[in-house]
Amino acid sequence: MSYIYSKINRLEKPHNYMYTPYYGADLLESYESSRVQVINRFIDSRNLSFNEDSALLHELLPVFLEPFSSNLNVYAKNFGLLLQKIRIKVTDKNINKTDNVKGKKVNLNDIKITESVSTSKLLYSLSRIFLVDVHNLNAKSWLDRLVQRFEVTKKIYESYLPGFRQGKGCNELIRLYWLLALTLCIFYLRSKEIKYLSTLLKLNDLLCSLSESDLKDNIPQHGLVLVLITELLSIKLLSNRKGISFASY
Amino acid sequence: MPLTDIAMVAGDTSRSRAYLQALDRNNILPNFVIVLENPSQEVLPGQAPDTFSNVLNELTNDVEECWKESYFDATKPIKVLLNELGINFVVIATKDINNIDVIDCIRERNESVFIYSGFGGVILGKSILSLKKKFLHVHGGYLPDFKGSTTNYYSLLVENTMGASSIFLNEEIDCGPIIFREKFPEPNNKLNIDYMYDSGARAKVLVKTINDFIKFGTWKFELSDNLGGETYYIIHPVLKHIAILAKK
Repeated sequence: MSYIYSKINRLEKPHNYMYTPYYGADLLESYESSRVQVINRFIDSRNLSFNEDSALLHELLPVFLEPFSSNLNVYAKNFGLLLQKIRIKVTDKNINKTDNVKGKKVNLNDIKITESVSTSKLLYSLSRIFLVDVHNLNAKSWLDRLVQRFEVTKKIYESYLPGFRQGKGCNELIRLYWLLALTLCIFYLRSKEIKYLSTLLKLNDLLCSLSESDLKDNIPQHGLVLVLITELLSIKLLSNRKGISFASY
Repeated sequence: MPLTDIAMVAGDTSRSRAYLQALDRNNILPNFVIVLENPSQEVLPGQAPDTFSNVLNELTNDVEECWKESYFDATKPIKVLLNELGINFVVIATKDINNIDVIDCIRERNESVFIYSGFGGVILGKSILSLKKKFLHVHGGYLPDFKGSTTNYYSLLVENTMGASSIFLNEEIDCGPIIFREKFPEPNNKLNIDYMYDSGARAKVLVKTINDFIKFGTWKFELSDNLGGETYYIIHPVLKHIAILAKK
């Protein structure tokens, strides 16, 4: 069977995921097959360029390696090795940290619900906080607001007006969907709270539904592969824990 | 025995069918029912597809006591059922409980409590919540831990249980005071969660809630401060499949 949830452009035609039908193990296999196809397409791509988010990706990479390289599960070990390869490819020489990361450091305490919020700045701040402190309640409240906005509207806006209900500006910035996926990866790896894995799956469905050129122009090299591998391995590990094994290849 | 102070607002969903048949089995029928009739042919959230009747017979093999209210005929339309039970009802051609005709009808009724069983995905607006009526809702999840949507799939993944909790609705989703709540073990056939077991768990909690009201003559709250917990959103199909296929 074909995996329908990322088959058509989900920025243009979002899926509401209500009362989705049951397809048995075929659905899990089609999901894995679909994700692996995208991973294979991007893992060795030379065309992806380093962009403004490459430095952030480099800074966050260690957190992705932790749970996988030490895991005894065969899938986890393989994915861990893959991530090591990516880490080697995303090298310091390609990234001007001073220009990129430091310039975007935002203190979460400076972001207020009573004021307009830049989604990009918020996500940069959250991803760094979760790197060191997944129990930060203020950061989790902000993540929950973003997740709520995406789950209800299936959109992420460039910014949000005071109160964080109404979005403002563009809602087709692929970079923001990827940044939220990246932040959710970190939070899920650290917290194991399944609701965030559910939202991550939906965000990745959306990203995988987009054209290759759109993705290349908006996501740093290996950024997409990283969030897809993290999601896929998280699903594999959860399935194993629940006594289910599936393999599409 | 009709409950003179309790009415019901019902879309023709699996849940409403489960509720009415469970209330009938326990001889605690609502005094009046406002039927929300889907004006279009589309299947609305909570309505089982036509093909669903094919799996009904499997339930007869499931003999767990805790799931006794899951033994209902999900294929019987509620108007047929209401006629059989002799319950007075009115039909309003809308899928939205916030429709002005529905609000007017509720306002004019003498009953002070309405069992809420509308179509999925609809939230009660300020107009209806300001009517000085109570809306008794059974949430499909164990509160306050599991708020929001499709929480029984999440709780199956996290702790191999399902749940249902009765509350009076307020402006915050799933945050009204908890009257009664119960956890259920995972059912034998997890393919039937959406239209049978979720409805059956809610029906069982509804019956217990109303029986307690009859017994005590007042609404007693198991947890007045329904604070904390997580709010969940519609589960992704991959996770839903893992919850259904799980062997441990």
